[in-house]
Amino acid sequence: MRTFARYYWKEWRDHRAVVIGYAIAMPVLLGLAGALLESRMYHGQGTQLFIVAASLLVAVLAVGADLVPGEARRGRLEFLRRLPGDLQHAYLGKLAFLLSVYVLFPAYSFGVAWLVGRAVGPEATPTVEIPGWVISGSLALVLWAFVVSCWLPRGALAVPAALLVLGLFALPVVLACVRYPVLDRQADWLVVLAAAAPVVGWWSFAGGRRLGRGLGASAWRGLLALVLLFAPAYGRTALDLHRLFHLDPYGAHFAMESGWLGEGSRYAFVNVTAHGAKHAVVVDLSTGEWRRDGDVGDRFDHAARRHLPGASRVKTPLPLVMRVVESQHGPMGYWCTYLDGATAEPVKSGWTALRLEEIEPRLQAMASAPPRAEDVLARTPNGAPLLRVGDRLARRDESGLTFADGVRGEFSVVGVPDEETVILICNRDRIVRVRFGSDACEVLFPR
Amino acid sequence: MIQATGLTKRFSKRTVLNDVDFDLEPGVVTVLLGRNGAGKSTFLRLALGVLKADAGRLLVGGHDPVRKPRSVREAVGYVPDKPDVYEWMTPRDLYRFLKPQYPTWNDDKVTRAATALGVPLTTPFSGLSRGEGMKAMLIAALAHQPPLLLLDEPFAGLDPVVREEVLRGVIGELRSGEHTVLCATHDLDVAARIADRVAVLHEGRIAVHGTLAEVLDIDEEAARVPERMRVLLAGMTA
Repeated sequence: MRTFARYYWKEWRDHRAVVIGYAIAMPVLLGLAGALLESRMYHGQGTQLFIVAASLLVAVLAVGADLVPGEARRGRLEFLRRLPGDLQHAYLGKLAFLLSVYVLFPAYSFGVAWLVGRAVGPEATPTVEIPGWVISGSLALVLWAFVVSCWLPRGALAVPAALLVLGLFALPVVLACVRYPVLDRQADWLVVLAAAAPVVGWWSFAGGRRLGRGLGASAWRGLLALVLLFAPAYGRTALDLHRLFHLDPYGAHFAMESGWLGEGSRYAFVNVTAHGAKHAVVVDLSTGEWRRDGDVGDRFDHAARRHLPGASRVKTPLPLVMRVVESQHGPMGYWCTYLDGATAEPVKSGWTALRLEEIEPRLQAMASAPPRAEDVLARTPNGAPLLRVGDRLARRDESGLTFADGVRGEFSVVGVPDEETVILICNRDRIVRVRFGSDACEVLFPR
Repeated sequence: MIQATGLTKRFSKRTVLNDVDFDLEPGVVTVLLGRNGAGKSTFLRLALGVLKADAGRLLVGGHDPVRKPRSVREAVGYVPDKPDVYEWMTPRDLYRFLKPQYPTWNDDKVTRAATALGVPLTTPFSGLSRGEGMKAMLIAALAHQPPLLLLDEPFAGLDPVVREEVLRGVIGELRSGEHTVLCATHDLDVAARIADRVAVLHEGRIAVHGTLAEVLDIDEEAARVPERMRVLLAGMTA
């Protein structure tokens, strides 16, 4: 501990001119800002954030980026190398000093700004809310500028070099996240990057510059460490991309949220969630074959919500375009023609889809019996309501309730092809065809 | 104290040490002679573990300096050819900085030596003369009472008066028998005054190694030693 304290003290002595200069300059500059700026502007959150950002920039440029190149420039690495602690103790001292500066510079600046703010005007200095990603991002930048400075002869290049190196390494993942925002769970990388920087710096500097090795060895180790560091992220992104494009209906993460039954009851149009990503899937109920439609994130939108009287088609942000016309089959539904979104022209063999439960409340009220305790899910073609009774599906007619066998749990109705059959999404993991009054409960998808 | 076997060190394509075999006898002062660039400093830096050999085996006090640098460095006092510490440091700062790193550090010894050698403890190195700086570095190297002292041209660049002053100040310590000393130098007068044994590095190898009498084929006539050394080295160069 005493050794570490001496190394820390050495860094303080090496850089105290910068620190003291900063401590003197800050009140002067902020005093000037307070005198020249309007009170409202001085107290603005932007000004306060600028002060914190400028402090961090000074910390990284004047201190962090010069900790190692300055040592090499002054020819003191050999002295540090031949001590019992080699460069490892020196590295720890530098890292601790950098972290101190990272915390103290902005804190000091903010404190001075607050004091000047009290003198400037009556407005209370705003509470600056710094998002977590700014803290982890700035810490990552400061630490990585320090790490990259170990590879460079001049510390002044450290910040742009760090940005360049990190940018190049992160580019594949960033591009993937931009293209598919569902992958953007990787913001926690900044934390990982910041946490890994001290270790990489240690390996790069204390290991790389040992035994008389030069900048090349240091850079090589650092870059290798970056490859290793980014490898899990690349792997995770690749895995996520693979999952995005290779849906597994049998997988635990595959869940159906809603669906429509197509005209003729052959096709179901299902909105699916898998590993956090949304997909639109068309299922051929006669064969069980399926395909994802459109791009990741596309959805079959609600027909009722799409209905615009007089409009023959509605453009959506998705490549799917639905033309909505009023149903010719009664008041309960809407016919939707599924178009080719890329051209916004009708597909010649156009799909038609029927959504029963997404009807306008007015029409639903017209068609429904007076409100009951049961949940009306849909109606059969002859108007008999399908109900959720407990966790079971039932049909109500003159003779009373008829329960569907083999269906329990959470489900939603996709459509009703005929009087006796209900096709539904059951438990969100399969589409089943149910026949009332019998044990027939056939899984149509996946199969 | 130092055992080198087949020690080889190259810098790019240049072979500085080539298959060196060397055994440093404990308790005596051995002078490592050689021309500039002969590899004397390289050998010392290898022994200190700040360089890695390309081939061969090197043990210092029974430890590999690359694998066990701490063990080696705690047992070694090293003096470079010029003070290479921070200019803002005073000798007192330097000693405070070094003290926690050496379990055997002796403050009394530092105080005594500084007084005896006339080293101003509170003047930064930037304000010290070359001689004062070297004396301060010698004190730093001796303060943890190392069994092995490695001196890398410590008297080079000093004018004769200062050199004499420094030499007088430390010769007693060097020849006390408490330390094994390996002193690289090309200053034959210094070598003649401190050496028990001489090793000559020539063309990357230890060309000659033995007592003064063996190497120079003379008795203890110190006044003749430098001249015989010159003849020896001149013969190698020719």
